[in-house]
Amino acid sequence: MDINLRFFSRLSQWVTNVIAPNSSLKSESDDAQQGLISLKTIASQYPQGQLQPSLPQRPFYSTEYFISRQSQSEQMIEVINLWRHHHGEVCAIVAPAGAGLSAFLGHMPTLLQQIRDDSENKPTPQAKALPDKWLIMSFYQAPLSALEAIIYVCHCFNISPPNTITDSSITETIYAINQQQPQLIIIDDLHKLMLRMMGNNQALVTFATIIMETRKHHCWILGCEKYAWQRLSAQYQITHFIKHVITIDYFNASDLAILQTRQLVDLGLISTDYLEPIDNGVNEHAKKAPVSDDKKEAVNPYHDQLKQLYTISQGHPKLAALLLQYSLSHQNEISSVEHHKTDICKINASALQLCQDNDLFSLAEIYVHGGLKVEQHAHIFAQTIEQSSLQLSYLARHGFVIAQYSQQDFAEHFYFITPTLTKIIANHLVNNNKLFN
Amino acid sequence: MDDSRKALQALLDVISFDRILSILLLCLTAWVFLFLVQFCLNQLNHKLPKYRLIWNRTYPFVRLFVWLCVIIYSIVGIIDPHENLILAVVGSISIVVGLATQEPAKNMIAGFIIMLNPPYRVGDMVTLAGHYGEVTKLEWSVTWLRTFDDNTVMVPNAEALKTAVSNANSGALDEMVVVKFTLPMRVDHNKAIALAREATQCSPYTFLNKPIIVNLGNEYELGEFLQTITVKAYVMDVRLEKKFISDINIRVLSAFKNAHFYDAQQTIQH
Repeated sequence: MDINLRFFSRLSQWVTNVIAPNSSLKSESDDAQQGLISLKTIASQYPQGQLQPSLPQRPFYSTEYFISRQSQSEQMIEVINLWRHHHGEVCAIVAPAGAGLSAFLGHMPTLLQQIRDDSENKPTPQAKALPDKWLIMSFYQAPLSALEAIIYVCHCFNISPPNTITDSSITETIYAINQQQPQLIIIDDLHKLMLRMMGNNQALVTFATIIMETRKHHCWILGCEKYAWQRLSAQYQITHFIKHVITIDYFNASDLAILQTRQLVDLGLISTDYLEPIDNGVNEHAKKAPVSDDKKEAVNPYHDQLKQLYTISQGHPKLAALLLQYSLSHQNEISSVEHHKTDICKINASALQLCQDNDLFSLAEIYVHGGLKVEQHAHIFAQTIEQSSLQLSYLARHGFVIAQYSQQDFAEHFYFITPTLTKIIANHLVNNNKLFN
Repeated sequence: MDDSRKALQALLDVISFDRILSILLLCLTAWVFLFLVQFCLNQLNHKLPKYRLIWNRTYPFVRLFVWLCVIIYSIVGIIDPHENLILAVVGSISIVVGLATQEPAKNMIAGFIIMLNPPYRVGDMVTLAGHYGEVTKLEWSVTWLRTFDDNTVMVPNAEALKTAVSNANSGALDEMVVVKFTLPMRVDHNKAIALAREATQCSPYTFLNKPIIVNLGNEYELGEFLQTITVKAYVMDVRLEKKFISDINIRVLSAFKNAHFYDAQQTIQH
């Protein structure tokens, strides 16, 4: 019996329309009153801007608000110690976008200091000394030839690259790099080196060859996004070459609660007294004796909100911070004493359902590459720059991506996934068969 | 004569308003239930398209199970006839229906066999009775295909069991696509293979979890020796098959043209 009747199909559409009216007709404050926040509103909280001609003044990597990640830190110390004991292997840290990989890399000076202190307390004559110089860097553009890859690596060591590529260029570069003083080089955003364009394949192979041939002398640590890592594994079998892979995931409920309690203190909603049990908890956690949750619950009036935050943000720290601030400021007056009874806004992700297949493919490529210029997008999807520009503008209008505009040329506009929406968009792309685990 | 009268009387005793109403209500309930199941599966399809093949395959089994339950309960639970009556009616109906509906019955039995031991499922890309397309619906007696020309083709199930069936993806969302290129013999074949592989890798529709295979061959055609490059790659979704083939052609041909693999007069832009 065929039950696909036209009447029921229309009825179903009508019911859907009645239950979920068109989101574009709603205003931001309407959503907030109903306890919702749209993706567009979340994106609008991100500072928009133009491509910066010079580097920003503040440091990219800071240890502020760094919490948790004890096991990963221990693994990292072990990797560096192995390198010091002449068993150097390339190490990769893999994390989903927005889980705090850069913050973890920013924590490296503290770890290095800890290793230095340990080695002073227990000196081992056979071990290499920790390098005086260490470098943390991220590449803005993917190399598209072997020569570009060599130039990139040479920049890490501040040595002059060859002008042209010859049969011996790679060998000479490896030799020159191995003549340098041992260094610790941390490359963040490894996925930005990967691009679905002709020439990138050879560039990555050259880059990997140089790293592998210098790994005993220099300590290489690579940070990569989870889905990009999966692609590198499928395309280049990168896991065959990299021995140490440290994984980082989004925060669990208790770690997120610690982060958000600090934000509540910063907002002036609770006193710094509430931080004391947490700080003690962190210290004790480091000593492998964590404070019980009951103790924290007893002191924090925002316990329910913190639980809601974890459920809604799924452990994404930036999204949780934004939701907390937005919910408190839009559902109550900031001076209200009823703040701790405020519900956290739920996310209205219905706009993602409006995306067509080609939009999802675009989002997947932007996600994996950590952002794309209009011209790169046009090249990847074999379409004109104008078509790409319009498509990316559409995605930016819905808040899925953020645009950094170039003043010179619209083809140079750079689009990247809204940092607070990375988990939501990645989940949607996985469910729609556009990203793969 | 008396036996016939008794049998007829027993049959008339079975048919009562209450029983007919009960059976109708049961059918209505089953129909509403199936409608809800299909609605829920459509919603799941919409929310989690990655698993659309699983949702689509569930429905034919649920429908078969529900209607079998309805038939069995109607006979055993509601009508509850005498054994002799069952045998008499089933025997008579079987002969009449079997003779009158030989082809539909054959198709229904074939449909039942296909559901139990499926050579294809809903969502597969198959060649069936000379038609290539996606299986959109699997019913008791017929299979519905949607071709790339957006035509809907109905194939009797008996046909599927009678002839060879080619299934391109066998229950997976990804599917292998083969594209062949021909090059003059003078071209550096190693470079051609590398370019073809990288160009295929650059397509946003390539399923990178499975390998890209590039094979080299040669042939003699129209008095000329040629080398052939065959690209075998997987597309992310069977529905993108034609788009993927076109995309590989665009990328690989562009790469070959940029590498000057073809004679100048063959690649002149007008």
